Amino acid sequence: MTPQVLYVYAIGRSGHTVPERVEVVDGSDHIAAVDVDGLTAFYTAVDAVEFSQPVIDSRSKDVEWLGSIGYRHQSVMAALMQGGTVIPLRAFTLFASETTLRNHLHSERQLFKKILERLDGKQEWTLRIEFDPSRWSEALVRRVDELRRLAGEIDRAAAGKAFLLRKKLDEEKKRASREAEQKVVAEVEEAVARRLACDAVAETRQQRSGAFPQINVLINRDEEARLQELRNELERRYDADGVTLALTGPWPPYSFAGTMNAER
Amino acid sequence: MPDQSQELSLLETLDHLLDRGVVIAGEAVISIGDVDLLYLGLNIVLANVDALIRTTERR
Repeated sequence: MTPQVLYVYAIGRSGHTVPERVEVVDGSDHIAAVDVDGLTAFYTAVDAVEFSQPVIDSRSKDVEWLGSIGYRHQSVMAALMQGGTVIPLRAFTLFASETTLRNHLHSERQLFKKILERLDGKQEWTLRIEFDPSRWSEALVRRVDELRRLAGEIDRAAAGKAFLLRKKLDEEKKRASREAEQKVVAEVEEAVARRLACDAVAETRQQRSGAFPQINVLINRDEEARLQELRNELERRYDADGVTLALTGPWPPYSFAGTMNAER
Repeated sequence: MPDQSQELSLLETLDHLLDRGVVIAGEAVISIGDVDLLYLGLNIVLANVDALIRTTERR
């Protein structure tokens, strides 16, 4: 028998039902549970070589493979969440053996119970803040005094000087854009916190390696309509600036399952 | 061949699932090799997903 490691999906309370007939990460329907101190971890024992660093690295550009892991992980999570609150773990959280998983559940039991309480009755939604390049570029001139002044100078300057000033304006726009984007993210985050009194985790474009910034919010299940309403309102506010807000969810509360969030 | 909405949904799913390596156990217990929790080197995977997301956003 080839060596195995445990691919762990989530942690719930003891008594949480183990899902049946769900396709799991290795393509089978084998989900096992380990119970320690009132907590249950759900896992699939997977081939240690298949889920080893070199194999994952070699397949990291295989979107079909990555996608199949993603969808299977998500399907298991959806089935688990139907049975009640769980702490969702990110993809590829692996334990070397059942003993190490048990030890981990035991040593972190207080923290896990605290996180479970925090997640009870809640859902995670994501507000992605998208910037239309040309409209946002125009909006920057309206928003930033220095850019507005430069644009005015360009209008009054002779052709040669105007050319140089336009180059300067482009450079200044690049610098101003990051700051202005952060300001919009902070404004949206503040509006969400004020209206919904919920926990939020903002991720900047830098944290997302250049992808659009987003705000993950943890709201009560019955607050979805209010979040949608707020999103519409904010989108109207930023429409002239070429800023749109994409709302997706509900997601398993991955952003709020970490230790840092629980300790806040 | 998936259409664009399916593709976006896949990317969004992966974006949530993979994230930036926040591991529930905290960094102190993460290790590679024969010790407790193995959290594989997802930076390469993540870089790939991030690149895909940026490509989609540029469309």
